Amino acid sequence: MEKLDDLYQAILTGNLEQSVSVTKQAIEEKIKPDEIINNHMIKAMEEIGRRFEVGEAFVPELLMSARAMKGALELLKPLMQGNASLSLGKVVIGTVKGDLHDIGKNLVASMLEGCGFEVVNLGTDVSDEKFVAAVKENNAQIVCMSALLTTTMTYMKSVIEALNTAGIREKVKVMVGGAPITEQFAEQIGADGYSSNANSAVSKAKELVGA
Amino acid sequence: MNSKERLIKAINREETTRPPVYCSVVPQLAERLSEYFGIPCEKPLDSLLGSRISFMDLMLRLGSDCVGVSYCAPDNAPTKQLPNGKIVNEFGMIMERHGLYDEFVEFPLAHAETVEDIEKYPFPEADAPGRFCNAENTIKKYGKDYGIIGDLECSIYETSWYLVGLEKLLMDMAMEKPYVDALFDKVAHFSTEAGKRLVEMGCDIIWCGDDFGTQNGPVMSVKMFDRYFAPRIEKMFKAFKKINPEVKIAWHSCGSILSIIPRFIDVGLDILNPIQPLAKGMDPQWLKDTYGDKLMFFGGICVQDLLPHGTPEQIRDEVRRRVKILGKGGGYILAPAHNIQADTPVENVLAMFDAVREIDD
Repeated sequence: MEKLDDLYQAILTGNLEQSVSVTKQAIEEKIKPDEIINNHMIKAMEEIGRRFEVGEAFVPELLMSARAMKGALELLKPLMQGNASLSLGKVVIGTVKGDLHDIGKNLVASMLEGCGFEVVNLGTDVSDEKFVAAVKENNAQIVCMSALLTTTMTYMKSVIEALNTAGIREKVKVMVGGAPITEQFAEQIGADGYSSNANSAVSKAKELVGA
Repeated sequence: MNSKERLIKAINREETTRPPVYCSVVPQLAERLSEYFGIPCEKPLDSLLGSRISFMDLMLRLGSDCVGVSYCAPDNAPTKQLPNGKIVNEFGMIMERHGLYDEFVEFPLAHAETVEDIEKYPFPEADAPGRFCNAENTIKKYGKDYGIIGDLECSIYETSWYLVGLEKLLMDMAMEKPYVDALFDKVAHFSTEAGKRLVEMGCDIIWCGDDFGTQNGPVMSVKMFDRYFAPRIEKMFKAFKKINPEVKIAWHSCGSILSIIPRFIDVGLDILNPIQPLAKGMDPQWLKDTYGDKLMFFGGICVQDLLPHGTPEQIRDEVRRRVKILGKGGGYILAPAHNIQADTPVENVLAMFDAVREIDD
């Protein structure tokens, strides 16, 4: 469908109304959700993510694209139920206990969702019990933790220990990020992956699930 | 040479053996430092900028050369605790304690869509009674002997997002919703009026700011910065210089803001703060080499890794390195790159001040 090129443009330029109307039309014309998602939506999110990483797009543009993508995805979700092949994997994501900073975490969540992962966003100030429960409940392949503060980043280690105690550490990959987080810190606390930005978080997540 | 003279020399680009120091800490660290010195810990001041202007006696005891002052909540609108435990300030911003920090959780203009929504909002008055009592008293007490920094951070963008919510504001800026300009005008007016008062009271530096940087780069494009902020910042700076052409203007922005620095020079900035060392590209040597003839520097001591996690010796080395690079030819105020955080050992804070004193010796 030629019109679907407009979906790519709508998401890339952050145009929610256009994104919704093109998707509605595509659904009416019985175009398969995986065609819409894989060939248009994900490609647009990959492109805005690339631009963000190289400094051609910034936080407002990424937020606008994510909003347009979510508008389309809301319409497609009911049609995808039970079709596991459409998902690259399930991700549980949250900002750790004591920390309410969430814009970076939300950008990562949007990029993961827009690039084909199922994302369960636990919000901010998330305790180790909550992370463990969400991983179990959703049978998640990846848990992502974010922190802005040096005083809260150490809590990531507590979450990893809690996953261990619950006996599910081996079943889930752990990714960490946030302003004070470094690759070295990620290694020290026993995380499986680190990313410094929302775009490279997607490549790291894909690598971790072998997608 | 007393602290005041040291600051005045620094901001007039005269090199001294060591630069002046300014410091601010979070309340939990203030408590531990007070305990260390065996002095009572002050209650933080009721101000949007409380962290920068509280515990000043303690900072002077440590060896700070400057005192921070700012506007506080006025007599008729102090910050209050609500029955549900949340805290509401005079702007109607609602905060909640999470871990060590009070964070914004509800925004009084979260519904804003139109210019009317902004006009209906009862904006605080900059000249409300009691707003500058603390600043007046502090300047009276310390103004002769110490540098006075009038803090005016959260000048436009940050106070605006505290009113609206961050993601909403950023998207509405991208969509050019009509209320955005009206909101920025109101906030800039408040900051300008408060800042003018601080200049009139005799501040040596007016320290404006908004965080335009993330760890990796600017939050927004230069185009968007030019569209919304450059003209308003320029107008504000001019209003301050009109009252006192000698006053120096600093700007605080956390994070990496390399692409915006030339714009700040264009609008008349004197001093860049805080030179966050771990933010991408904010390298002190490069900044001094590139912009040292146009800008002075304020900050430079890392609070993200060095101060909380480093050893006292590493901190001493870093202080000496910063002074050598940024202090060359004057134009440097040594300071932590933000409020020193609660996870920082007392001996690390002492090491920072000791290292400066050792240069003096």
